Amino acid sequence: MFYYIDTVTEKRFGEAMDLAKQMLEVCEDESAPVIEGLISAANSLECLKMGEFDRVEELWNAFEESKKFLMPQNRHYALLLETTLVLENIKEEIEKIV
Amino acid sequence: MIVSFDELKLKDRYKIMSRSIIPRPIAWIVTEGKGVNVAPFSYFTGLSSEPPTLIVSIGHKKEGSPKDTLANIIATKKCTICSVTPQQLKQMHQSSQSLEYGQSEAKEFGIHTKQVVEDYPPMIVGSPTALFCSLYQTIDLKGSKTVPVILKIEKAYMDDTLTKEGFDIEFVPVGRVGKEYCICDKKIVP
Repeated sequence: MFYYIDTVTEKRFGEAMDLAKQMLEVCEDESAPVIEGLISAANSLECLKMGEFDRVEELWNAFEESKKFLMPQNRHYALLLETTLVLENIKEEIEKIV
Repeated sequence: MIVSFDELKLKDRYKIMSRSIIPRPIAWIVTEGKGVNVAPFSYFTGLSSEPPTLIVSIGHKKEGSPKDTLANIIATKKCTICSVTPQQLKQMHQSSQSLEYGQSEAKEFGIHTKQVVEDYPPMIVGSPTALFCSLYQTIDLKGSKTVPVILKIEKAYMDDTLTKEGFDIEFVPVGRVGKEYCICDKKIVP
């Protein structure tokens, strides 16, 4: 997860997607929907970065939906929550770049 | 609702300003340093026709160093400001990414440039207009890392196919509204 945060912070969203896909293969069932959301978020940010605006909102909405599955009883709650905040900050940063 | 800017976080100030000062024209600026640097800026407007001047505010990189555009303008005293059409939107947006100094956005994102005025940076191919500018003045915003730069227009390029007699040029420009772009294609004749 820390690598995912690093790659997102460095705006290497393709790598972030690959990392999240790897996490999805080994994570507990309860974390799977949230990890799927992280894949969508990284994909959305890649589209935003590259100016593929048509898919940005749909993918970001999928990420927003996935946050419903982020529960305090989840073993990795704090880390997942931190990750979602990083994603939101990076999105804002890209949006205000021009 | 009345809000006091002194009490607002930076990102909220930006939100209010970027959604109130709309639509903003986009200055797609070409400068030369280690390579050809291309970057868009939307805190940009004309200042005066005499002297022919405009102003663009240039922020800083995340780590605090000046953006390449600013560093190049200060070093060379020159830049070329190109207008943006809807066909150029994607490349213009891509060129907003922060690359390593010396890494050329023009090369990285396949933005073609052409030299049209000697001794000035090239213009972007496909832009209907380009303003070839010299550095007139920088403004110190008292501790801010954002530097407003006043530029004097020395020469202008206008696409002949879009220009009528008397310098009337017609094209559909791209502007910035909040965090989105807008295509300004509806005109109202007063």
